[in-house]
Amino acid sequence: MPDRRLHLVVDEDLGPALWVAEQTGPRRSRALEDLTALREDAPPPLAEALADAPDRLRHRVRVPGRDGDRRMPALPLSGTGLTGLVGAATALLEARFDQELPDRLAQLLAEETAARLDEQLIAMPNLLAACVLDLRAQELLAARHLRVRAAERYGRPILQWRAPEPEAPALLHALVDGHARPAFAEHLRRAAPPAADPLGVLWALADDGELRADLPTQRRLTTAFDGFVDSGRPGVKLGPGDSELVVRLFQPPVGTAWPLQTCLREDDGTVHPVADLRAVGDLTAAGAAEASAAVLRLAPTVRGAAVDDTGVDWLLTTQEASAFLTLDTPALEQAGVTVLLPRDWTAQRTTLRPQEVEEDPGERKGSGVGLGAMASFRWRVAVGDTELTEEEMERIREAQAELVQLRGQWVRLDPTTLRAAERFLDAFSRRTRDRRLAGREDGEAPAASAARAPRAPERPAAPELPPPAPVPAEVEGRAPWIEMFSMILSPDMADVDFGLAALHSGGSRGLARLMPGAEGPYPYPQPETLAATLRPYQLDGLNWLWALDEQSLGGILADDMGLGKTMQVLALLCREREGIPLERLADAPVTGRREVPPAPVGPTLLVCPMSVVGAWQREAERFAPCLSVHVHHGGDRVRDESFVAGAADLDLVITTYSLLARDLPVLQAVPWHRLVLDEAQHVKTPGTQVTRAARALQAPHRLALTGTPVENRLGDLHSLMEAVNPGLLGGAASFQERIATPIEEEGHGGAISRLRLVTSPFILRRVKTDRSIIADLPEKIELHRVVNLTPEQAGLYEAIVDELMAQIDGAEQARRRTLVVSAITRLKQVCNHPAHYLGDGSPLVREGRHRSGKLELVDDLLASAFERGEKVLLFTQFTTFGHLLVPYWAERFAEHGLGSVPFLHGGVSKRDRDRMVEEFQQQRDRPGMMLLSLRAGGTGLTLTAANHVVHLDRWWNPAVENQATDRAFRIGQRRDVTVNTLLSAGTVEEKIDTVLSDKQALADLTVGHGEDWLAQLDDDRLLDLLSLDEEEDR
Amino acid sequence: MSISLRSRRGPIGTAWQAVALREAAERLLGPGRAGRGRTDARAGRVQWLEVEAGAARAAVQDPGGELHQARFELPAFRAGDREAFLRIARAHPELPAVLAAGRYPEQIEAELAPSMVSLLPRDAAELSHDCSCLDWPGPCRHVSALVYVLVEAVDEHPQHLLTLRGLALEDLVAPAEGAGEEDPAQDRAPATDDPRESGHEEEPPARAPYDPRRTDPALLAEVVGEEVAGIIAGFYHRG
Repeated sequence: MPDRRLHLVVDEDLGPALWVAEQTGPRRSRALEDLTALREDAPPPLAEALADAPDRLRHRVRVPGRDGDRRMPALPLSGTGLTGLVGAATALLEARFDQELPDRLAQLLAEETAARLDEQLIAMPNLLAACVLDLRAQELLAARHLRVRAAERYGRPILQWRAPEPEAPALLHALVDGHARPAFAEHLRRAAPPAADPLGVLWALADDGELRADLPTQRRLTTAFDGFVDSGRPGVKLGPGDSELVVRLFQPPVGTAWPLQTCLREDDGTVHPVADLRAVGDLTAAGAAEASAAVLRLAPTVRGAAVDDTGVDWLLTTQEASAFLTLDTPALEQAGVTVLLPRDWTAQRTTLRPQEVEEDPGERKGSGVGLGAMASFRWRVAVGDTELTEEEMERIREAQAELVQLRGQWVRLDPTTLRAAERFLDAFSRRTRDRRLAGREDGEAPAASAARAPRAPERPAAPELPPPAPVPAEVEGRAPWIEMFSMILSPDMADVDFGLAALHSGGSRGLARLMPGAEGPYPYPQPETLAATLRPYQLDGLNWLWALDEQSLGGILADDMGLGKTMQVLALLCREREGIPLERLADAPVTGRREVPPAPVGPTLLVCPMSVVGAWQREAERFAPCLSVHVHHGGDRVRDESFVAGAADLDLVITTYSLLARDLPVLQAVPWHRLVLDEAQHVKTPGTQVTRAARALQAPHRLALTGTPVENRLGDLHSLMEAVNPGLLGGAASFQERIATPIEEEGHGGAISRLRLVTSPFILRRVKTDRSIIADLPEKIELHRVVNLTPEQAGLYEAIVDELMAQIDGAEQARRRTLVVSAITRLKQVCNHPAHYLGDGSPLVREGRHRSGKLELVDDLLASAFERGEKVLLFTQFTTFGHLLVPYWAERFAEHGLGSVPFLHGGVSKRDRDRMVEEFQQQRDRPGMMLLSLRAGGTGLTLTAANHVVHLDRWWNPAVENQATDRAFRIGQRRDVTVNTLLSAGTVEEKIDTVLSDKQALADLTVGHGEDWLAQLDDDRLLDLLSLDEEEDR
Repeated sequence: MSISLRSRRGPIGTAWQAVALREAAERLLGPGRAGRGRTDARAGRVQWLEVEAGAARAAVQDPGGELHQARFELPAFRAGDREAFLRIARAHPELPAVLAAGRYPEQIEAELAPSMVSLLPRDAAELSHDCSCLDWPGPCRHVSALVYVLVEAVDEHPQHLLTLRGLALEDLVAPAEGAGEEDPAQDRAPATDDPRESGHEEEPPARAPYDPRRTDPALLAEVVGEEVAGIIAGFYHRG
């Protein structure tokens, strides 16, 4: 019998096919045209595999030969036909080699040698390779590591099972398909038949069932199956769509090439370069290209950049890296792409540091005083904490890039502040130069005063201006203070960041001494005629007042209440009258210190609220007996010309704000030496009669006293400053726009630093909590006590909220505001007490049961304080509520010997007020209480006998509440003070408290604007704030 | 579902590769058919477009509502041309990303020119067409409409040209050495000595083994329906 060699080939058109060469003689053979003989002679497994095959081989496969391709008759194989044949061959080989089969096969394949299956049949190497692939195919099936692809065969859509690797040999794919189909058919027989399979997917997978899918659907099928199979491997991402795109910029490892990497962030948060992902096969090249392409699409700078050899990352020049940061980063981030910069890499702000400020000696001709005085300024540019050298500044300018290397570190410059600083220095040098050219400068050589631009050659003054010198790192020049300040506050300089802490050397004279970082006022001793010993900080305050006074500058003394502002003002009045004799100056003569001879000084007009007139009068009598004091108050006050004549002989005239407006004509007729506005928040509202009067009153020296200079808004600061240093901060509208709004709304650091630079010489504020100021003040303990509403309160509360929400639905803004504010007032009344809200005169306690949770708690609190012989101050903003409480408490606590309960409110006359305060302050260690309306009790009272403070309801303005609290917590207090702020649980009181406590950090600068902001809220947030949160235990 | 062209008037396709393709195809179509095809394409008559190796295919609707299967052929590269193209393409590692970003640099074509290879049709003779309509031998208006939809697709996605030439973006990346499959134990970290941020770099992820029980039928359900997807997933989860 002739040898028959079995070839298994994969034909381009036909797919896998078997052809058989039969030996017809030595070195001669022919291809079988008919399988009948083979089938008869073949061993059983093979015969079985070929059982269904047709006898005649009607197909032809292309077989490369020595003389070109030959076309051999062949049996196309697919499905079980293929797996059966390869399986039969494997079985025969296994019978022959047994255990050694894998090794022998590997060896045969390596040597490309055929193997005999029996005496007659020889398996050619391509069939042996198929046997190996077949084993692999079976493994893949067992592991269910199978892909499915929609394809077309002869124009008919089909589904094919495939090996997972697309580039696998076609025969492997065919073998996988051959094995998977019957396995899936078997699975299908066991599964419950689906209600519908519109595409015919299942039978297309199991058998040669028709796939009802047009081309796009076929693509979608393939994609869906790919996604399905890939989901079997965690972390595999086919495209960047599944992961978050990340772009990472690195600092140049060497030189100036900035690597920019395309990366993907996986679900677990780790970031991997796509080049690495592609290298390990977790990302297809297309996926990597797509990720990189997304960067190209969003980042125009990168398009022109050099690509590194990965093809998906780039190497940027420093210019490109700068442009990438400025121009591309925002677009990338907006598109959801994360841009990772080198660690700790935030844009460094450029700050301008006043290096040196010195006021010209006052003797110089043409030099003004106060704000008009000439001073020399030296500014230096710093990036972050690094002060730049000329060379570095030069480099930054030349580079025109955001990225510069400073002291070996790459630094990203914040372009806004850099440009602003350049602009400022440019404007500054131009102005100081203009002054020189205009010849307004006299008596000094130009070279010494001109802007010093070290790199720019000095030129003699020419008809045309010299070209703008490059902005150096340090600029020096002279200008009057007021011009300097207006430059600092001008809108052009909005982005300049002034580094105040870094003032190296402040001046030794004039206003320069008061600038931040400067020496401060001369430390003169306290006046001898003052009948008290000033505390050290009070002496500092006096010397500060004196320094301003000498230069006819106004100031705002904003010490916390209780630190003795009155005393400092009295001391000032004493000093200006007694002068500073030479022998009291320190030993070493210091520039600018001089003897001040005693001199007659004109009268000081002090304006204060009515409630503190008495206090001023008493303190002046007691501590400054040398001063002749007159109170301009009461119906019998002198209002004619004799007042003007008499005032000249007085030292201090005390009057009230209401009289300031009313008696302005007569007050204006007096040549005042000084105007002092105590509790100066009374002149904070521009346009009111009082404010207008205060500004209209002429006096060369002006002083404002307040415990809270920025009680509500920075606008108030402007208003106060306008009363004492008119024009310093510019117009109200422009100040609001350039300074106040940026600070209040954006917390703009630049605006804060500019404002501080300009105002710091003129404001002195010490706070009580600063232990370096006062070491002997006891602790203030603040407690927020949350009380529950009674069911009666809760019912009323909810009814008000419901009513409000119904009313504001669709209401126009103005009406809405009125509705909201009035509803909040009613809600607060309910929280206080139902009887307060209802106003029906019903008893506060009904049949021994409390109707208000608050009142119940306060009663307990009062009782326990009285037990210990302590005194309590209670504040409410509702006078009506106070009137309800007074008789109730008088009766309830009669046993403690209280007598009547004092109630200090706006309607109490000055005489009664003084009497109440006096009585309260006496007999310190006995029980006592005083009820105050928040408005009336806000200012000027000393009630240190109390060591408990209760805020019955909320004003929602920490400044006002603190001021009330400070009635008790001020100098003279010997015990710790407990401040109880009452909040009704779940109500607007508690919720707004939460909102406010978040803002507390800002309270030094800005404070909530009363209740108006609530009306601005949208309905949902409003409802959220106002509605009553039910508590489980109620 | 039909394809609407971005271009409403004037020539279709603005990128140079789209213009080149259009001009080559218009030589095949002739002005009359080109005009009709442009009108049909703009009228949204092309229902879908598929680009595969050697051919772009589309279903185009007649005004009468009948669907025709049109086909426009640009042959895939033969082995020699393919190598010539890949040799040059792989010298430009950025090419895949640039193509994906929608740009086909003319420089590549310039470098290909000496080898007489181009991604674009070198002449009209390289193009052929077919359609299921009766307008024989064509090219019919359906083919013409297909051409304009293809031109606009190539305008935005030049990698369609790669696909037509039998290439994928994958092919443009030189295969990494030793990047075998299915061996999670193998250390796959590329042996790059990366000087940047050493120590900061996260380790490249080791490739997780395939687990058929993790396969998510939801990914299939969108196309085949939940029930069928469930049955298929049942087969995989048995693995």
